[in-house]
Amino acid sequence: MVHHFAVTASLLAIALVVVWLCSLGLWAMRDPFQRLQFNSPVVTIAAFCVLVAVWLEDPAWQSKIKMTIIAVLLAVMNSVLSHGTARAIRIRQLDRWPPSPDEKIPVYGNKGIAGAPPFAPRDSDPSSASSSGKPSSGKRSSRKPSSGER
Amino acid sequence: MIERWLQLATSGMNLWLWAALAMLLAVAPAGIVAFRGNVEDRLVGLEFATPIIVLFLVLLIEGFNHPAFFDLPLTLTMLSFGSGIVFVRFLQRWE
Repeated sequence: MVHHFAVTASLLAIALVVVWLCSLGLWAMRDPFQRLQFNSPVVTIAAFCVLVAVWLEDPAWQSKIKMTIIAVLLAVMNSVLSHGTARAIRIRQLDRWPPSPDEKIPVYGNKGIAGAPPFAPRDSDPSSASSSGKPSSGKRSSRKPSSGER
Repeated sequence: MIERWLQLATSGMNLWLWAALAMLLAVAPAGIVAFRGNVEDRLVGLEFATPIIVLFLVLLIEGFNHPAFFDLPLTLTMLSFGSGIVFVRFLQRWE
């Protein structure tokens, strides 16, 4: 019993330390993209520690099952929500989602060249050829999307 | 006098309730971020505070030993995802 109490106290202490460090990190950062990173340890490490503590201390199966569902939902939904939030903030700030060449972000599938979406039209595609008769380079130029595309 | 007050205040406390109290205090920096700055920072602060509130409710339920109340953090978890998606959509579309 004392052993269980010590393990539970240790798990809760780890969860609290993680939550406090992430909370202070959220407060210290100055960029919403930086602040967004501090959600993940809370919903993974801290939630997992609380989950194990509940499994150790609570004899009711209702608590164990529901806490497991809560921990899984937190971990899965936070990843989706963080991606959506980062995408929304980028589109709100830059008015576009694809990277531009001056950002120098390597894009997979385009030989590390930024500014083109990964599914650029191929050279054999007749619709991608330019009107001057020269074959297309297979890369789309970065353009600013209209408001309807957002 | 102070010792008697402390003894009275902590007589019903256990490990889970102390942890819940410490977890609740960790919401304060997120609240500061959520109440200040631009709209992006506010949304990030809100999204950060939600899982802490969920864990706080779990610790309270364990501290008071009411397993039936686990529906509350479970519902909050699912509803916070929907509300977060709606806020993200509004943040992206609206100036």
